Amino acid sequence: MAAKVLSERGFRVVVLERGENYFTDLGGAGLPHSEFSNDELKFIHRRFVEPDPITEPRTFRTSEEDGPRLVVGDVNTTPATVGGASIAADPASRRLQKADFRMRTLLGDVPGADFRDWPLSYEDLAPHYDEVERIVGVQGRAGANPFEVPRGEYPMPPSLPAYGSWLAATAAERLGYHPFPTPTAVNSRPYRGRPPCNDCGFHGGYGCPIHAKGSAAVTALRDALRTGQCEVRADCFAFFVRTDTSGRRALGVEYIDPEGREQFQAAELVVLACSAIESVRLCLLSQSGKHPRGLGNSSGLLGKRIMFHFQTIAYGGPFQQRLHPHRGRSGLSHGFDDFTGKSAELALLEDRPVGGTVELGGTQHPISEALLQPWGLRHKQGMRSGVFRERLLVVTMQGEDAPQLTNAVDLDPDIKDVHGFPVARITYRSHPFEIEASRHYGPKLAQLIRAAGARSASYVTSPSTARLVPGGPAPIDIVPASRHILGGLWMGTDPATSICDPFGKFHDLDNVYCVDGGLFVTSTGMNPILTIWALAHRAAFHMGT
Amino acid sequence: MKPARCRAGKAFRADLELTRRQVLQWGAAGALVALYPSLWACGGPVELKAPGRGRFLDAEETATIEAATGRLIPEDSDPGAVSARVVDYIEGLLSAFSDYDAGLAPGPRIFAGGPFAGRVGGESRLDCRACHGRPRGGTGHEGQNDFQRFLPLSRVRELAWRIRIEGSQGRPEREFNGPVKGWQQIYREGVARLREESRKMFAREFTALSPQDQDSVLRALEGSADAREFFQLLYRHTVEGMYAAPEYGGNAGLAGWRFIGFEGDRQPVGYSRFNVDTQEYEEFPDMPVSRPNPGEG
Repeated sequence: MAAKVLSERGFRVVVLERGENYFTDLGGAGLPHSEFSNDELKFIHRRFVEPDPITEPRTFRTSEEDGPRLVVGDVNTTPATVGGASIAADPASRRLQKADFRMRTLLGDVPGADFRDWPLSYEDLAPHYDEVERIVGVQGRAGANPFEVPRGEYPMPPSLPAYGSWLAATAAERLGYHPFPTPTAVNSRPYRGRPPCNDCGFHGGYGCPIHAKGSAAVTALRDALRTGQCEVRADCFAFFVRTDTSGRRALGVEYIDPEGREQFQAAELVVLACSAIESVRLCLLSQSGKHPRGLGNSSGLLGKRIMFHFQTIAYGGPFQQRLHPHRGRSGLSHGFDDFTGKSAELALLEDRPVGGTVELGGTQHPISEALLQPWGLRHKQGMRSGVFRERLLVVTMQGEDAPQLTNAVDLDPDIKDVHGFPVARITYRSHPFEIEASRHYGPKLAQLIRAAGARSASYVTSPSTARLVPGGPAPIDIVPASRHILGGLWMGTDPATSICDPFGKFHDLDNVYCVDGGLFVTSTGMNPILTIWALAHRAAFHMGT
Repeated sequence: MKPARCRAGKAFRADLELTRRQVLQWGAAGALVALYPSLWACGGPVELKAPGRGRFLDAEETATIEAATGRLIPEDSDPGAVSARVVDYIEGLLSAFSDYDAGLAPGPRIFAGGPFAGRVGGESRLDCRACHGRPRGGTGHEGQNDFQRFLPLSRVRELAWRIRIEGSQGRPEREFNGPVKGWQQIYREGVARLREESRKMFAREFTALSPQDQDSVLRALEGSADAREFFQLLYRHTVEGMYAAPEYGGNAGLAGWRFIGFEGDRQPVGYSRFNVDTQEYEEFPDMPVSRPNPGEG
């Protein structure tokens, strides 16, 4: 998104992407060729658009008491490819609510947590929300969600509901909630030369073979390339931001090219958009004489307050009829915001915890289902009935995750990537804020699934809240599954207590910006992609001024 | 693509005696396209063939694995792993680099190409790379299978998959985080262990046992500390071979998808169509998106 705005403003832009480019002629006149396909093995089980955990692992622990690490390898592996995480996301395109910008004011002091107000308001972001919704093409219906800030009509109306999602929405309505067709960056009409979605079902986790999904690649980056001002260099791993003798100005970026050689790209402006964890890692790898604790880390706070969404996943079945969630956009078309801070004012008035948006529906394809089935004849019976695929309803709450100064990204002292650089280590433990919200809303979600027709329902959380026994085995699900990675480079007005300014510029540097989820001050209970794009759009107009 | 073209490609490659390293130095894909455009023509000239038996697994190993997959996903009123040729999938995975290393394929058998397998028909409005911007429809490329063309890997991704399949083999460039045992070794040792367990429990080869006795051997492996890793890998790969796209070597005749009522890859048709004249979405009555299946309402 930043590359588009900068290119259109006349900057010469070089995009260094550590993942591969699966497009041919992305900036050409017609729709590009891509290698994206309806292939479960390739995308879900062989990680076509994600870094390989063998060559680019991460590590995880819950606190220093765990020792150096508990998990090595696949830790929250987010896509790295031209187009970034938006390639494989179900790009639910949600605006924040007004309350999200001032949670500190609304919640006061939450012991152990570090809630702060954002240094900007909904009104500051609103024009950029409008613009990025037009750029990527968002479908939705204004007014369908009573908790949405009043707004104009969406660029496109909602497309077909998915049957299971619609069943859940109907049940939610009976229970007094306020479901709506989820705003999402998927075409429901021919839009800017891209076709409408045809509901193939290979959606969340997959690159779209027909470019109906409004990924950053086929929208903003394509626009950037078409200016002739922008160049994408894929399979290039940036590992060092070089600064001048004052330390205030970045001179450019050192990177490993596809053949494994070190290269340097000079630049007047450096923009980090590696997703929060890898942007923090690049800053830490860029440690130098003027930046002894890492680039932009004079506060010593860089990498702290890393946040994920605390997911409460309720599931129930078996349904008598097949819900066929493999048709439609991953079987997920509706959601509701009754459990968010909607107003956090209202949550406080009602004396209930702040949860997050609820996504009604979801799917998995046959290989994923089969891995859950037993072997032998029972495998055949289970797969025929589709008990974990066609007769299961799943709803997920993206719970707001309290920021904590003890949750952090740093460099692992031992584990290296294929290039020999230390990998990112995540130290993360959930706060009672989100655990209590999950305990409050989890049973309500299970009740909803029963109301939709399931014989029985229950819920789990990610990360697991199972108690870790010192020295004992770690539950395999202690790593958050959420790909919503936020914080670590958050915005603020005070250089002593924040990393970036309200436009995403590093306090410590004159020409380095961050435009990814790292900027988030609080995690909010909303899918972050639209807000990340809006922040990038806003920052890119500020750059060089 | 037509077999004739594939043979031409092989002959061409053989003539030049390309080593894999030379190809890499040229920047594999680009150089091949430049030298032999039809290698990258629509649909891919690398003909899909059942991975040759015995490339990694010997005949006895192959027979043992085939029998084991047949117990993990048995035949009943519907085809099981044996009919679906899951053992071909596993051989194809363990020898994923063999054709590539022999200079016979632009990429190892890891990532099938895109965007369409051509199984559902329909015409794409997407441009085809080999047609240089001309639309696909009407150019004679309808219905071809992009999945048959396995993609070249980046240097780093190739290393990752070689480590995963071949193991680190004591090479420093593969052991930046210590030694890794590859799938080839896990299979070689695991199959030996399976046969040994069979002889120990029943004094016969696994392939000669009754289905019930075969299940007993598999349960013993599943419950043992030293062979559980192999058992779990074998189950994962059996499942992948049963339900992955057939271009990877298994799911023969779409047996895995058919018996569970899964329609498989659906592009470029999908399950709905937006009618620009009426401005309404239309659904297939027998494969609805927004409604219950026929007869299940």
